[in-house]
Amino acid sequence: MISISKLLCDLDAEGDGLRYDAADESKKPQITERKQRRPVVVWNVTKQCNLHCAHCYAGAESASAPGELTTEEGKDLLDDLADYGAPVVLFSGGEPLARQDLPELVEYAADRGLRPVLSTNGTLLNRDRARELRDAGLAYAGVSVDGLPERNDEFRGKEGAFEEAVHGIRSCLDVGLKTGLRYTITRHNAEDLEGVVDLLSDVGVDRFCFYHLDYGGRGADISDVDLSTDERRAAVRRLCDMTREYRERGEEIETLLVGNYADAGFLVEYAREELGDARADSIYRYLRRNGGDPTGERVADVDYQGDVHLTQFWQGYSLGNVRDRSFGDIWEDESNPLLARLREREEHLKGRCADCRYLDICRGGSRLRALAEHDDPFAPDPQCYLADAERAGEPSAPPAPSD
Amino acid sequence: MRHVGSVSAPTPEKAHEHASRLFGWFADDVWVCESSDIHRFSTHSLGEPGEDATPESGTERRQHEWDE
Repeated sequence: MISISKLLCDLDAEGDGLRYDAADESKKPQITERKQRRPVVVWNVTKQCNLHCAHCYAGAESASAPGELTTEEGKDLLDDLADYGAPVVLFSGGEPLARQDLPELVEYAADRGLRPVLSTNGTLLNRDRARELRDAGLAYAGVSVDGLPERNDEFRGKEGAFEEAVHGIRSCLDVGLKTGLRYTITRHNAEDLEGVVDLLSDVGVDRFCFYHLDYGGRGADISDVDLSTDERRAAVRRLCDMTREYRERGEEIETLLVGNYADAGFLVEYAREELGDARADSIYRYLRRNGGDPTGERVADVDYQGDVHLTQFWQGYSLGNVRDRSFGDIWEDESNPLLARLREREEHLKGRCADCRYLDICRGGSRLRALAEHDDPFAPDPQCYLADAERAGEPSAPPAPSD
Repeated sequence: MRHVGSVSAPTPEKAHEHASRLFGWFADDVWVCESSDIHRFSTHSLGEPGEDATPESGTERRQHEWDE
């Protein structure tokens, strides 16, 4: 997760310490004072969902699936995660609000010192449920919207889903729950991007997370509508420009990019062109502290039946099950050759990644997309959109004295 | 032989292809077994304690047992 607003506009955020080891210089209260040593854990609490989105990485269905962790098992899992030192648990699905015990689980996570956050389609949220979750200790709700009304509803498989999601967002904001947008960019909705930001910033949303499409679950079935290299460059550039324009108007919006660490190299290049060498070098150092693609390291996923995955998008492969072994035991078990190699992937990446000047801030991008496209988890990410001239040469910034 | 996790796939053949893509660089042979054919025992418990079970071929007491 890369914060455009932090890197280009110096907008402080709660995640500065977690992401960049930059808590000391941030004016915002911090999720953690120290850069994370343990993964943020996405927990897909259910496979059930009231929508049927075209890009759903979890392959969610309208009916609940057998084998879901029970409430008590879930609490034990949260104990497990807290003992291991996970900083954040992201309740996801399916649609997590389909589980009636969600507030109980959120409260339990908060009591155990985990930061509970939520990923939801927003359509089941009303003011009462938002208040209940807020009172349980929920710290943040990310609501998925993938275009202006007509396009969003088509993508999500339900007429009226956009209005219901906006109602859900308003409900959260009304009860004082920090709320943001999640938007997966594809060829179908790239042109709606600015319109959605303008519309939802008027509603009161000030945090916008833009996801590149990953090729997991139903996302793998729509890779043909993924952006081309030129379209991706244009979309990310527009997000950078837009963030700066909002800032220049005195409006602060937090914008983040998720799921493609070629963005890291692009941001350095963008800053060098638009803001000068000093800023570009500073951004490079932030991104090096961030550490590049987090698969198998700074992010983990536990699905509805307890299987542990390398990221939430990579549900087709599981390292183990929390009903068998503790999460920490599974995550620390580097006798698994894939896990071990992913954690030293710089030595194994191939093709254009191997000699890229941005290797240490990107780390090869998505290994899942590489696998899907090239049948090789160490091949280049097909979504890399850096030009050859940008990738050539030595790393762009010398280490700062403090690094 | 090393157990390295599980894959999801619609058929055994697809599962083997998937597992081979993930681990072919490491292993001479990749074996897959349908999860429905596996009976698993664990000393680790999650949630309410499961039914005690003793593997037919052994004497070690186990805490938790379920069919996949």
